[in-house]
Amino acid sequence: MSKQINIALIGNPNTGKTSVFNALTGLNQQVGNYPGITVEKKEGICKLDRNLKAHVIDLPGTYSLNASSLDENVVIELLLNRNDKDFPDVVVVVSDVENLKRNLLLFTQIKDLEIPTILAINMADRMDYKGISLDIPYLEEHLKTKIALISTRKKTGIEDLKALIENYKEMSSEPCLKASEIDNDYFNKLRKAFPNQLLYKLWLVITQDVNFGKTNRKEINAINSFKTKTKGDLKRLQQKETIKRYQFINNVLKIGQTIDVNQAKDLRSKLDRILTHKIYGYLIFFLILLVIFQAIYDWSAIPMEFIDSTFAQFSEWTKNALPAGDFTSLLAEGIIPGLGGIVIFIPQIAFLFLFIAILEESGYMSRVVFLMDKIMRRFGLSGKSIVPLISGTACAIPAIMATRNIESWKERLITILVTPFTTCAARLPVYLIIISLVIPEGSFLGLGYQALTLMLLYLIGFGSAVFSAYLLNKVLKIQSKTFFVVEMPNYKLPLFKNVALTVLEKTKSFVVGAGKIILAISIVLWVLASYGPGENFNNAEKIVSQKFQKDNLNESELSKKIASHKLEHSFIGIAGHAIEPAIRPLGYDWKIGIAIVSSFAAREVFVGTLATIYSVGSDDEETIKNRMAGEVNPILGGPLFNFASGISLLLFYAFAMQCMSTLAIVKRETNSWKWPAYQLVVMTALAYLVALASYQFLK
Amino acid sequence: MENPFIQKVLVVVTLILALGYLVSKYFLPKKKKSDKDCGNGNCGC
Repeated sequence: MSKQINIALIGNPNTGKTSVFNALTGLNQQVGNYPGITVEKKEGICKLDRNLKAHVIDLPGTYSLNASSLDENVVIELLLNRNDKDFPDVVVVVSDVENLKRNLLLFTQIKDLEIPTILAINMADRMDYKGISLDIPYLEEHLKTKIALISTRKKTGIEDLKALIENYKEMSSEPCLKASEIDNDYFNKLRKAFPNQLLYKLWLVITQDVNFGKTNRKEINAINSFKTKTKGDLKRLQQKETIKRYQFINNVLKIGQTIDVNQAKDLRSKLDRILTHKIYGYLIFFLILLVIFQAIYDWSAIPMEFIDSTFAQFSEWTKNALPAGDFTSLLAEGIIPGLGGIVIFIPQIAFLFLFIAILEESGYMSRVVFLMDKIMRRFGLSGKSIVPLISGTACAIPAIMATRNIESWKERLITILVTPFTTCAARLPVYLIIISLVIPEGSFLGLGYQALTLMLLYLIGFGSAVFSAYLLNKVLKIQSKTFFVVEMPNYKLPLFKNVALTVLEKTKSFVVGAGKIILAISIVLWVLASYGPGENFNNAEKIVSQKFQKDNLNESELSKKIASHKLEHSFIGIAGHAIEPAIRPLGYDWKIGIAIVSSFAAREVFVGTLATIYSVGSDDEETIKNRMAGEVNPILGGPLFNFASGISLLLFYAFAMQCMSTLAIVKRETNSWKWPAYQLVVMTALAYLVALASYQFLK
Repeated sequence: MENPFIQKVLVVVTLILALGYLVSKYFLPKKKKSDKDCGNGNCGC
């Protein structure tokens, strides 16, 4: 009579597991459901030799033994329950040769349950095509397993796999990772409490919320009652376990797997060779950036002019249509210009996010990450730091939260501290308005000076982040070492729906998020600019009329002088004059000073603030840009926004840490006020000094 | 709305609403969005 063993086929989704199952069982298979749940159960019989048959179960695809779905629960329940009639004598982990690293996470977890485990590496026929070579003896030795290189497409290696299954008893059941490495103290307590149990099995029972059947329910309940850690602490330990596993896998693959993209023959590899080339790669990326910034300017010019003039007309219409009074002035001179100061930038922000979404969707962004990793390492950052730095171009807040996947605390802290240097969307309105005022519209080799300036500011932001990281790496005395492996997605044509949704969602969140703050600040600023203490404000008409009595001014000129006098003696004017000595050396007047102070909460408030201040008391139907262009330097004469003061302002905003939300998120991520305080002081001081130096040099 | 008093009252109400929003945004502690436990670095997700 022939003997029958149980084989479980386990693997990540899309590794060709079912093809392996079909190759092993042929027509001897049946499909049913797991008891009580609607998860499909596929099982079949495979004849190994005259005396040995195998009952093969094709388990649902799973990425790890950390269950998050019913399908994944099925895998864990079977592997933890030795009393189950289907409990495997041997597990075959089916992996995909192109994604070996990710696949090995599940393999190491199953191996640690001390069940004989074979690693079947599928799609081996694509190794030449992809330039992949594997050192099988090395991998077998370090993964403590036997490996079958198979190709279900070419029908190769299945006999080798069967031979390994036949000899499963000779296989080592030694684990890859000692469970106690996750947390020595905790696992020692666990070992003392349950001396006869496998530690990793206990760990899975404690951390996974799955059903273990009637037979050992009592024992499982006893384990579940072992509570020396909170749920949060257990999750932290699970994260630590995953990191440890990936460190182990990276070490093994560093020698056991070689990927030579120069040998690869498919289109993707050919493209990768060019796009990640050590010279052409950077050149292409630089050209793409140039095209993006030029397009942002060219495509958005007409809609921006339309929005700007529409808001100016709307403000004028409000003033004429509503009865004269304070509230009408608040609407026409405070709220509408303030909102116009943000809505005007929708076209440019939407185009920026459109290009970023296309680069991400097409798979090119992952190549940029890979490319930048080479530079990042020289400055003490990991390749993973590039993800926060690139997403920082939208907003520093999600970017700082994205640092959570950086294992090394030192690299994570440095990334958190330098990310606010990257040019976020909130800086864009400031840059765009100042550039349009102080940089000429001409072009060089078809590239506009304004677009080049904007790109330069993005590069300054990125360069400052990298340079600061270099300095922090030297200063911070924290020892750490990490590895970076990025999985390159296939190239694909971006889906219109995905790109459109990303642009819509990001633009909406910018406009709505910033819009509410700007609206509120515009209201406060208008009140501060429209009321003031003392005789100078309250008797402005009388004082100005007497002062210019001899000049024979017409009504319009006189009302402008009165409005200007009132503004200077309003609450905001008094505050502005108080800070003027500090900002005068930078080339700014008190109105710019107020805009800088009010934008300490959020940078994007700057333009709205100026729009509100310049609108107060003005009777003209003017666009924001024209109002700013018409401002005169009260001391030197000439335009207030000239080349020297404009560059000074651009550099101030490039370096200044003006975002309270970012400071709050840094506090939360570092669990200390020390780091956000450090950021605020250093970045503000740096911004002041750079702006001062540039103005004094250029004036 | 032509009454200057009503216009002033509307300005004061608008100002109070604006200040209230800014204070609640920057100075009052935020409500946690869910009870989901995210470990030590609780992200409030």
